[in-house]
Amino acid sequence: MTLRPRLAEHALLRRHVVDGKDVVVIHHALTGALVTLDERAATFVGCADGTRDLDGITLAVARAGMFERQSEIEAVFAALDEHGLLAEGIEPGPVMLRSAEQWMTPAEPVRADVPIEALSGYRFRCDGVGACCSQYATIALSNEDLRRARHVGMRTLPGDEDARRVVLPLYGGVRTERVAMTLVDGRCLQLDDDRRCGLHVRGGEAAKPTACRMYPATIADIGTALRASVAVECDCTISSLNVAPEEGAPIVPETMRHAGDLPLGIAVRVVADPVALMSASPNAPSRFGPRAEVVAWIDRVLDEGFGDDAINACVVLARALESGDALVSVPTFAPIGADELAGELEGAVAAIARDMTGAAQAADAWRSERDRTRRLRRAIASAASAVLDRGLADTLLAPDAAMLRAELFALRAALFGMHVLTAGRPAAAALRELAGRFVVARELAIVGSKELGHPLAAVMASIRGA
Amino acid sequence: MAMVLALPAETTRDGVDDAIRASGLRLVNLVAAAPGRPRQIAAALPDGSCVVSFVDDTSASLLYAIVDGPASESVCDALARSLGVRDWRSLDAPIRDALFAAAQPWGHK
Repeated sequence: MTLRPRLAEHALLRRHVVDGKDVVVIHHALTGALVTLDERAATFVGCADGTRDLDGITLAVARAGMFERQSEIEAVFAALDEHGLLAEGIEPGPVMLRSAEQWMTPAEPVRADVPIEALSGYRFRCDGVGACCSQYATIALSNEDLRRARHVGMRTLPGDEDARRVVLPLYGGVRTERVAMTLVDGRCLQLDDDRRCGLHVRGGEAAKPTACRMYPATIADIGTALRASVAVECDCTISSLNVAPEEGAPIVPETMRHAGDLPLGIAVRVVADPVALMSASPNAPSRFGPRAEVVAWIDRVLDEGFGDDAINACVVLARALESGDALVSVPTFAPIGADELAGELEGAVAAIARDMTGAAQAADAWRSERDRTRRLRRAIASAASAVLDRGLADTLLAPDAAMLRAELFALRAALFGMHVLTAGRPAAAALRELAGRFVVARELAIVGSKELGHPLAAVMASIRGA
Repeated sequence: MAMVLALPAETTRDGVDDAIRASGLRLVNLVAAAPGRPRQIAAALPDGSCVVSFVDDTSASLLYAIVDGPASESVCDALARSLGVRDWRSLDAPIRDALFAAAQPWGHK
């Protein structure tokens, strides 16, 4: 075991209240493994800040009023070590704030003037029913968000008047600038019984955490500009397609024109340069393109249009990126036959079925039946499996017009926002994966419950959040 | 005067931890062994009326507890019930003499 242990940065510690009982879980961000802790083990972990050896942790646990056998404390850490969740010594510094893939606002001073380009022609209107507050494994906020929340009156758990169980560190076990909100049966603790944000109700929109206020905006750094687009992961993002310009709000406030205008604590995904376009295997990109050229090509696709079928368009774009003359011209979006399309996407749908089945089984083991995340995962796993059982070609036929429109918007948002270039896989694979999500959403529209919300938003949120 | 209990040789760390809890004590300090200094576990009653030091003197192959404070008698009783006590007469004379110079053997008036 490590001499002075702490949770590693890839260990995501989260507090849930499941059917009235506190459950603390650790998600291993790299392997997807999940470890459930009881309250006493969670206290042990909270005492392991990388400065204490086993004796120090034992003493800290005792000072927290929970004296335990040292051997039991040691056993908990041995188990965490076995799962690869521990690191040694104090953290090297703020984690995950700036990496090759992502940075958090504020922007570096030299880049404060980089312009923000927002998805045009889109206005967003939140329906205020809290779907997005009950479908993610993490609701992140900053200490400043927490301070504002305390100021307007923050909801705490019963018996937690001093608010010790409201947040846990966002990464690892040591509380730093970023924290994660406790979830109650999968819903944000601050969500009122009428599914409205309690902080918003009591303090107005400004009282909400910054990331919640910015939701569903996504920000991507393309070098010369920041792209603000939409994560099509909530019903409102799709219902907003029918919103009149005077009713909705721009995806980022009009006062935010440059990187330096963004509020603190916003995650910005970086489009790599060069961009991985395709690979022979998922982990070995074999063709790259200069970022500026790839972005310009995507912009030309957006300008010229990509037909009226988003699934078809994804596959055409993926094939273009895999061809030798990628980026030279915008491809022709001629319809691909259903069988051929099905053959192209079977792998992507199978991956969704496999991943969501695993996620659903993991959720079944500890999440409440009331937890929307659990129900979503199960429904999506079931829909993806059904598509594979029946054959993709059937599912691809005759979607309704509203679903087609939602898919087209989701593709436009993903292209403009460079989601397909920041998905952690080569662009061609990301496009096929996106098409696979559309296929599963079409099936979910047929077999899923209306209570799960818009099938496309449900699929997009669940797959990213699983 | 503080009292001392010589603890059975088979006493384990878990046994000491359990005895601390069973006696109503709270862990207050852990002192690692160092050259010339044995490992110690310090515990106390929450009201401060008794402090116990469990000393693991490997050089003398002896684990003992020094119990001090107004509530020493009842805490010694509780520790003896939890852990048992080694008969002080079984200790080597030099060790016994060194111990008894600082503390009175529990149960020996």
